[in-house]
Amino acid sequence: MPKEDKQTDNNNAYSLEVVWENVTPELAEQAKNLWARENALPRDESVENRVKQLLVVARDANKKLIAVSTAERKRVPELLNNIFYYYRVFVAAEHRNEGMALPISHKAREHLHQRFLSGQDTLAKGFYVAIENSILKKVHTQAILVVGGIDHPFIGVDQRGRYLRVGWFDGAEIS
Amino acid sequence: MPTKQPPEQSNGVTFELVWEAVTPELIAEAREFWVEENAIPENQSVDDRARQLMVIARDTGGKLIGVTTAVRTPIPRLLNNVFYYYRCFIASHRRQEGLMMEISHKCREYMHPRFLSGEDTETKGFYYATESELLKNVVTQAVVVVGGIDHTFIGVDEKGRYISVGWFEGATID
Repeated sequence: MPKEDKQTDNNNAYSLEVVWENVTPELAEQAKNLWARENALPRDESVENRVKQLLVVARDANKKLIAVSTAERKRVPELLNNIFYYYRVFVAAEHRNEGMALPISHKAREHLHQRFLSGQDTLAKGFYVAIENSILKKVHTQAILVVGGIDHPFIGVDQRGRYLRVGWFDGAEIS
Repeated sequence: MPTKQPPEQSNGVTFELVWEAVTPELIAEAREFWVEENAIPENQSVDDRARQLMVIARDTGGKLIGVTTAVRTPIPRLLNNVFYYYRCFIASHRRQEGLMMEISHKCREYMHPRFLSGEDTETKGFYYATESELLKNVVTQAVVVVGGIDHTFIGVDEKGRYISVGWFEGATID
């Protein structure tokens, strides 16, 4: 398992940390507690699997975990079975009006994009996002969303009505 | 009627925007060109296709050597947003010169400013389907920049064609 540099972005409200492939048992417990507290335990998947997918976490000034993002490498049949990071972000209910989801998502892209560009990890070709939340669907009407420096164009709607976006990494090939 | 653009010359080829300004003479010329190249459009009358001409290319003798066509089409998978469904045909003896990319650049360069200026905002970008096995094997980039617009590979259609879409800058999906 590659060792990741811990990075922290501080502002007055919270700090962000990249924990990709470097999830400690303590963090795993904190993430499980967060999901349990928020009644947001992952469906269709074991919690143990989901904690292994932690990518960027956010903590408040007291170091309490308040948001997490996860990514899972998945083949996308519609995109010639290329592998993408299937990305999710969860923010604790009391912090949802602080605009935290976007900085977390920026940081997640910046981290994994750099790994792709450096050749450290070229398996996944970008990010794949399925937006289920009806408010987000109405708010994010831009055909191209730029997240972490990567364009995420709208590419369609799946059978569950989720809005699909794909953010290919620079130089990615479809072969 | 779109703003008239003067023809542009590049390396002995003249490019001309003819979108929504196709004359009967040009229709006849395009028909002759497709017949010569044994490239009569399928499932559509030649004259109808000729009316969709967007940018044409001529050689130094003024003869047609490349044509592009576009038709404004709502794309169901993209929430029925309207795109220029784009096609390009180059004369067989001029296919090794990069003319296809050059004429495709021109189309975007002519049409994108119309969207940005508000002259034509109904159409949100370009949409094309790559059928040629050769092109599928050669053009492997997930994002191809044509005329300054990123064209993203978004999947494969029921005919096995590779679908790419290039949204105009600032386009919305509503």
